[in-house]
Amino acid sequence: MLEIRDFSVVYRTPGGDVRAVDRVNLSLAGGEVVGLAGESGSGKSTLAYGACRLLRVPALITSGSVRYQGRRLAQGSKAADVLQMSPEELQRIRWREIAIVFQSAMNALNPVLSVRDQILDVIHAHMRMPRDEARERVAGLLDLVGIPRSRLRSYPHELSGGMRQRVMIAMALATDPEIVIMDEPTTALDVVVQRDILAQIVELKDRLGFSILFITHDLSLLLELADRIAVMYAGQFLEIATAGEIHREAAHPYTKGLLNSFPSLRGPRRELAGIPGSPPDLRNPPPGCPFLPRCAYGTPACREVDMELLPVVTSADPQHVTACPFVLPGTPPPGVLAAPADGDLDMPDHLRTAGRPEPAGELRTATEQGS
Amino acid sequence: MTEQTLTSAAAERGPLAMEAVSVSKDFRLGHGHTLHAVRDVSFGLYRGAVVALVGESGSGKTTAARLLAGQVRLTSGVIRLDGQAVEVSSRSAFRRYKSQVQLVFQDPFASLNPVHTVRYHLERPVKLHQPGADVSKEVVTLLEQVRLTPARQFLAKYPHELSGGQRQRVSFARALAAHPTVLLADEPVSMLDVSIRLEMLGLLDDLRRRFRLAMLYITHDIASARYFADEILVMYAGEIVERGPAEEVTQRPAHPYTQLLVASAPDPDNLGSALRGSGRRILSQEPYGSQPPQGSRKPEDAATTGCPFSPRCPFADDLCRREDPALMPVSATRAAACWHLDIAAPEVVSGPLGGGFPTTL
Repeated sequence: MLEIRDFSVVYRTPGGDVRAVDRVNLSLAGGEVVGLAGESGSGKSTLAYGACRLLRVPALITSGSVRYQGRRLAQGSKAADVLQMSPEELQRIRWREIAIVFQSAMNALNPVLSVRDQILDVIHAHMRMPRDEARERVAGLLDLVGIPRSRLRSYPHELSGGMRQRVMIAMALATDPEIVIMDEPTTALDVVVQRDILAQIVELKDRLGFSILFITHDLSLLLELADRIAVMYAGQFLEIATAGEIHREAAHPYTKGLLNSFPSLRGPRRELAGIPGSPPDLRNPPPGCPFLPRCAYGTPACREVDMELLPVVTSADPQHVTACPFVLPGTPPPGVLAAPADGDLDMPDHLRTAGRPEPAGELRTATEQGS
Repeated sequence: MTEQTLTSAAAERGPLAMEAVSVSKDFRLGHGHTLHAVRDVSFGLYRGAVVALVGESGSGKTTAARLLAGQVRLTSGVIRLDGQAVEVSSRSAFRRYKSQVQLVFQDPFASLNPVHTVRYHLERPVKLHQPGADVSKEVVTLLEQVRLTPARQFLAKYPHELSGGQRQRVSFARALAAHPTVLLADEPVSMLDVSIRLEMLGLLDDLRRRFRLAMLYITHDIASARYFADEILVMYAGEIVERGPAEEVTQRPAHPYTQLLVASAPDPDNLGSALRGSGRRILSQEPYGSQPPQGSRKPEDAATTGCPFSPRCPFADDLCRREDPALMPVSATRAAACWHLDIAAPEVVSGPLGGGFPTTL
């Protein structure tokens, strides 16, 4: 339904171009939930907003295509490229076909408009609908997201955080879109409310049949929610697979690190490591794998990795792809990732040590490299 | 009072540093309404131990921290520091108090002044709390303690030049500048990326050990409390509804609200069963209502009588709606405030933990 190909975005800054999104490919099928996981600054929001052409200068889309094929739109004809559309065509696509639930519901709602007027605004801007019908639709939308109709005249400040987020979701669904992009919709909320809203999103998706691109830094959420997960780092994808594959046999060291970053409530207490260090400066990206400075398994050969997503050899699923060519199965021994984090910004010492065996061009086990 | 028989799970780490005894805070809202933000809360903080205060927004966690920090006046109750009742009536008394009790805020983007450098943020508390110290040397030491190295590189930076994690490290360093014995951390990692949260908790843990800090860790993430804290206090609508050793509270929650919190935490090992797939599930099906948190937030709903959780509780009956249960011990280190623990958590009450303790149940 949505096909992003070879997509790049740079931010023009006085200090040089920041390559926020670097030649990524991603597709979203009808009714699918795709999770986009990554740390702040990894380019996940830039990718999503860029694909809808919502970015402003100094952001610049430098390459790629975003093909959209909706069920309602131009039946039979070939998919249209969002990046080539005229402003009028864009206006027709936005919200009607692709809607966005923005990150902070606190700031994304207009404080001086009542809930009803905000949603009416959206409907009138993007659909032709008689006033009475539109009002009825707003009330129906609030029912849909579980807000009592008595709240129609409420202003955003009179609502709790969870309710505001529900209003945002109702707004996104107001025009019955085909794709809903959700940018950290529950990050600011309490766990109980978060769970409640996620359950509601899934239920609405099942009922209305839209697709979701779900952006978050919390991989544990995606494991439960998404069909497929794309792990993003420094503007590139490091791994794409189904949620089950990611959970069972994550291939990339970064994904493994993310999986080992959140404390779990159930089961035995695991040794937790997190990922020491911080992402690279995208003005001056290091050659090869961008994760190398933080990777516990890094070798000199990683500087020449071309970051192409290749199928994971050991996986039964051919759709499971990763940019790390040096990974074999087997979970790393606990604590391997727990390299001491002194000197956050530097490369770990063990990467600089001389006499490290060069990988023989073939796959080497993670444990070998980590030792 | 039955509560006196209870020993804190954090007590074995070290001596009592700070204690809240039957502390309450009411806010007057006008129109005759009063908001009971914190109601009759008692707990202790011990040197070298972490006590976690877990609850949803509006449950009174932050107000409790601000009471301990001396920033808001108590409505009733006593706070003791090293056995002495705290009096922060004068400015100098407040400063003396602050040199022992420091607070770290949630949002590292808001808690640092954008027009000042890291050096300025750290020099001020050093000059204030350690008169006569070698200021620039002390500042470098502080930065090294929070692992912002090389320290010289960070001194001249402004907050906007730092990442979220680095900013939070500066806030930790600023708190340490006073050489406190008690550190109150109000959601110190919830604004940060998941991938660096652990590192920051690891750093806090390291500081706790190195300086034998008595730490209060406020969070809504009960899973992180399991790993980080010795004792967990679960707060709901201004009251502590359950307390006990972190592992026991998270693995065998007794109070229905704690059970709801635990059930709501994302469970990556539970692929597909809860959120994915088809059909309807979770809270819509479970007995827990999905109403927004009531109680302390909206005065008109505040359960002035009965258990504050009763409107959402699957086990609530007339007794619950009529009388608020007190925190009652269920073992030497655990307590819960619920009339129906025998139905809600039979294994906790009748299990080996409950042995030998007279309860009214």
